[in-house]
Amino acid sequence: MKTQKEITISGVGGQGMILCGTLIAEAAAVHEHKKATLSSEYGVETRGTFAKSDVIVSDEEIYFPDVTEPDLVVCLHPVAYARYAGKIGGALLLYNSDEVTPDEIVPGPQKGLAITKMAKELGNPQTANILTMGAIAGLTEVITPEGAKEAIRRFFKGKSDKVIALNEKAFDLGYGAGCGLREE
Amino acid sequence: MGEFRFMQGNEAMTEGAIAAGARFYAGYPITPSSEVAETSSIRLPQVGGLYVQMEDEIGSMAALIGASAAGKKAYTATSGPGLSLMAENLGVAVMGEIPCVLIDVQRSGPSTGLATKPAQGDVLQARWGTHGDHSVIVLSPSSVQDCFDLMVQAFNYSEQYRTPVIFLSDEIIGHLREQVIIKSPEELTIVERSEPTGDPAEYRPYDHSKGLAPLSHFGSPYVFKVNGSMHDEWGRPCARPDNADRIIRHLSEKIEAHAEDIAITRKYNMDDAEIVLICYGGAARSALSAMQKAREKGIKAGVLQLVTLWPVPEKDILAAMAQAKAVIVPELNLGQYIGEIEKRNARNIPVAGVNRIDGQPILPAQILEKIEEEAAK
Amino acid sequence: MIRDYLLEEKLPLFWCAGCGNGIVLQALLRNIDRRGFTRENTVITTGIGCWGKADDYVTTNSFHGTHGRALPFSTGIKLANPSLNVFTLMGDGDGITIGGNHLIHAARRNVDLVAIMVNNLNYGMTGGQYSGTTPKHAITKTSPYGHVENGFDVCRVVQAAGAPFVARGTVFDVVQLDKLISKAIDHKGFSFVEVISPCPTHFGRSNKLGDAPKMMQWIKDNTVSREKAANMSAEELRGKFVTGIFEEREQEDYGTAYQKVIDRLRGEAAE
Repeated sequence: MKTQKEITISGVGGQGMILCGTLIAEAAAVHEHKKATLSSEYGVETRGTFAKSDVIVSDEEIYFPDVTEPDLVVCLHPVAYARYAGKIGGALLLYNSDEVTPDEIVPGPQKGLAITKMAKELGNPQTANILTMGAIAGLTEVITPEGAKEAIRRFFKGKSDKVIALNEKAFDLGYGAGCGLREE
Repeated sequence: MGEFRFMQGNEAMTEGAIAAGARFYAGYPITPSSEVAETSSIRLPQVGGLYVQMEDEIGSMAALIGASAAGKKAYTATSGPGLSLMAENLGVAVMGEIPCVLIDVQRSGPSTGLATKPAQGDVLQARWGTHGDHSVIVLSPSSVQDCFDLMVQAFNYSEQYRTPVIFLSDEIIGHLREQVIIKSPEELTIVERSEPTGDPAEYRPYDHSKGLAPLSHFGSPYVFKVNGSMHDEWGRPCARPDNADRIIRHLSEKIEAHAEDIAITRKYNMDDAEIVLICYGGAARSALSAMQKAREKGIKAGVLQLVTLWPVPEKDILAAMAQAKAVIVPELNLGQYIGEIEKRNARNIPVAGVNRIDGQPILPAQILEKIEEEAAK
Repeated sequence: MIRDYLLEEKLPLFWCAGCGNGIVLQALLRNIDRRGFTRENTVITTGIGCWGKADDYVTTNSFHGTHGRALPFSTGIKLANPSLNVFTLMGDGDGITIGGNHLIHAARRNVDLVAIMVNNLNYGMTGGQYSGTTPKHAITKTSPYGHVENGFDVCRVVQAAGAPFVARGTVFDVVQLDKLISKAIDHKGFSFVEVISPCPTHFGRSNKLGDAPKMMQWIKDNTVSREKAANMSAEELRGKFVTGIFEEREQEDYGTAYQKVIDRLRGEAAE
């Protein structure tokens, strides 16, 4: 019986996957008292090559911290999509429809979300990672919005109220979209 | 009560070092250890400590030892290429019996290798990296909590045995983020340096005839000499054969004779285990997961995790070997520690490695396959 | 008394007859004595080589580390305990050859200590091979047909690297040497003194410079003061040892600057 939720957030370096994954895992661990891990893979370049973040959330001890049986794979870039599509079993695949053309046949469901466009409409493209965090929370219910926002506030501590409010808004927007996709 | 936090292994090492009382860091940034340098540069001055970035790892190791001789608990962090450069002055810490902690967040080698990918290729280098006969203490963490708790232990051993301690982490654990309890001072046992007493004129920093001599620090009334050359009990150069023999044996025995006191191991499902996984560091996470899967399949698998790698935790290894039908040693190298297991294979049971050297972690499924193979024999 | 700092039971010095190291050690200990520095608050660090054995003969704290690394050991010692008086003794092999990278960074980093580099133009202890200061055409054990490289002008290197105090003296002019060391001690920050010293056993013999007194004469004849050198051409200065103080300026040292960071953080935390 699989008791843990496994999520991979993939893209290219610079898209904020590590922060997105860290805040999900942190929200789960610190605010919801679950076990959570975040491991990542990246290249020597800070920008532009494949990178991913693996989040595992469980009620029990997590031994191997890399995703082996994903529940959700998020692809923010075609490089990541090409790597994962077709190789993730029956896991749900969420792609950023502003970047990725879903041209592969995948065994499980795949859903698109216009993450880049939504972030731009919100007024800051850099909120895409927090928006993605919201979408993941909405899709998987792995963390609650309350826990997520606590993690967000903790991360942006010391920043202006405006920045914190913007990121909370980005989370809500993503969360709403994620919930919508889950119910589809 | 401690503080519940979510952080990276590398950050937790900094917190552990500070909790242990370390107030000096000298280093040269290198992937995948750089977060130790970065967090140390933030945290140390906050607690009145000092961070200095040296021109290379040779200088870093030297500054570290100098700071320790002047009375500060000191540490550095590096990865394989830096460990190679630190090897030179690691010998000074060994010979001068100056406590310090050297963190090696292992990455794939040789040479520059795969700079961002995990490996456990420095296991034997940690033991034998500096030239000449000596012994050294090597601890290997497998969780972010270990990065904190074991770091305190590393400093304690270092002070207690007057030796450098190598904190042999790897990219998996260094970059892993998970929950950690940052313990409060009252929850921790901290070993402080045992300062000399008595007549300063009679202080001999290398007279171990009545147990390990206490180490003074520069600036105290107990003036002393540190000498990387062969020295007598005063630290003065001495080339007498009997003295050299005594010193070299001492450097080894002061650690090896206490191997069981230094040994830290963890046993999981070992009571009835027939297939025993002996593992350490990042690969222990894979082994534990594989053991769980094997148990679900009804195979009596158990894990002996070695937290102390050197000196070899002989007693627990021998006990595991005595009960096992087969031993599996998963390592992110071509088989470095397995040699220590094979040396102790008195019953001639199967000892098999599961090895991965492509910069990727060992998958639990790879180990499970080997467990099933051995169980079917 | 200077003898308080000399570990007499280790005498006689192992240095060859005619070596300049004893002169430099005496000048150093005289200065330490004059200041009233104690054995307890003084640390002498050394590298490896003939001059690197100087710590054997002192009663103060000492640290005999590895070849070329005396400066980084000193850096750790001084930063960990700023109340110590730290003297770093290096040869030309230590200071500018294997340890050249440490030297330029120490000059730039500006930790408050005194570095005394004895330059005898070759590796004495290992038998007279060429070092980073061996002049072009010189004969050594490893340049038997004449050296094809140029030697460093060490003071210029250290000056260019940003040291706030840089000086050169010789073992011939002991009065000047004494003063240079004294000024180096007075100067807060990284203070560097190069001392030209004879190695009659190796460099002198290989280059037919004669016995110890003759080598002393050779150093004297080839020494030019900084003031005089200012009016000489590059051609005229070839093979000459220019002495004097090349750099002497105020510059906040590392320990002081870093302590300000600590104090500032402490202040912010208290608010």
